[in-house]
Amino acid sequence: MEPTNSSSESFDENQSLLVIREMIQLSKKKIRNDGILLIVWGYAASLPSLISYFKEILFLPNRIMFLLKFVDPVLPLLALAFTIYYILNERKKVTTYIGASLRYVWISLFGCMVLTNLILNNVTHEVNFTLQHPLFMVLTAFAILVTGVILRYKPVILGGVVFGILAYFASLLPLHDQFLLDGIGWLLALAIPGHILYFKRDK
Amino acid sequence: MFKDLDPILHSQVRLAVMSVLLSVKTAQFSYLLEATKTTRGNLSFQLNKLNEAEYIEIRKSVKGNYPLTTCNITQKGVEAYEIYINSISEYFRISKNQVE
Repeated sequence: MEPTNSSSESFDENQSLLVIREMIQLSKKKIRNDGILLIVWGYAASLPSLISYFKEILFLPNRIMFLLKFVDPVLPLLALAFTIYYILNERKKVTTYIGASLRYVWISLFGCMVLTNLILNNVTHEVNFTLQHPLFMVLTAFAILVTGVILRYKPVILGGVVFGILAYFASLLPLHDQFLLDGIGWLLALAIPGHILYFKRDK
Repeated sequence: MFKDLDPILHSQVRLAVMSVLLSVKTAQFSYLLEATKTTRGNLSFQLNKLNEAEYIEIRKSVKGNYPLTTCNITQKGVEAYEIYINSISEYFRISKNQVE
């Protein structure tokens, strides 16, 4: 953009439109760059579930089984570290309403999960993972759907709906099989839409 | 150019700044500099103009050893931007009708 001091004499309405379009493109590009967070969280949540499922059906050597035990806690922690790094470094120059809204959605999800656990414990007086897991999936489906609505990005909205449906089917299965649906859900709802969004960033 | 267009907004850099600020909560000076691709001096001058018109708020602070300038759009700024967009849209509507 050429430096302009103040005068509007040489600035016509077509140029106005061009400037507005340019700035809209800039905002869109920023949102598309954020697709990297969908990819990171999609895989960080999906892989531990898929590993939990496959390590039960595949006969793996003890050494690999030992290493796989660490994937569950390490991957989400790595994703969290990356998110904090990304927010502090990439987004430090600007605070968006979208970013602030999404933060509230996912922090609230964590709060809802804790409350659900406490309520389940009060009602059933036991830790029933087979019941807890699909309920957590429903809460996650809602958070994914709201994320898609905030981003105005249909693949994530659709992903949220699919995740909700998978939660229902998960409730019909034993815990071990629920992990497979959970892993597929995260891939469909976040990782794949994230790749599509990120791929479009320079277009 | 039309008579009705807000002279504060009808400038390349100021319009770009307002377009950016409309979609964000706050933006730092360096972000606006990247977005508008203008010079520091020019951006500073244009921000002051918008601030004088009360279309934006400017907060100045210090982060580490460096000055930090953060801007956000005001309600008055949002309304002025809406009026500006409506005027431009009206212009294009009339122009289109004339061509047809």
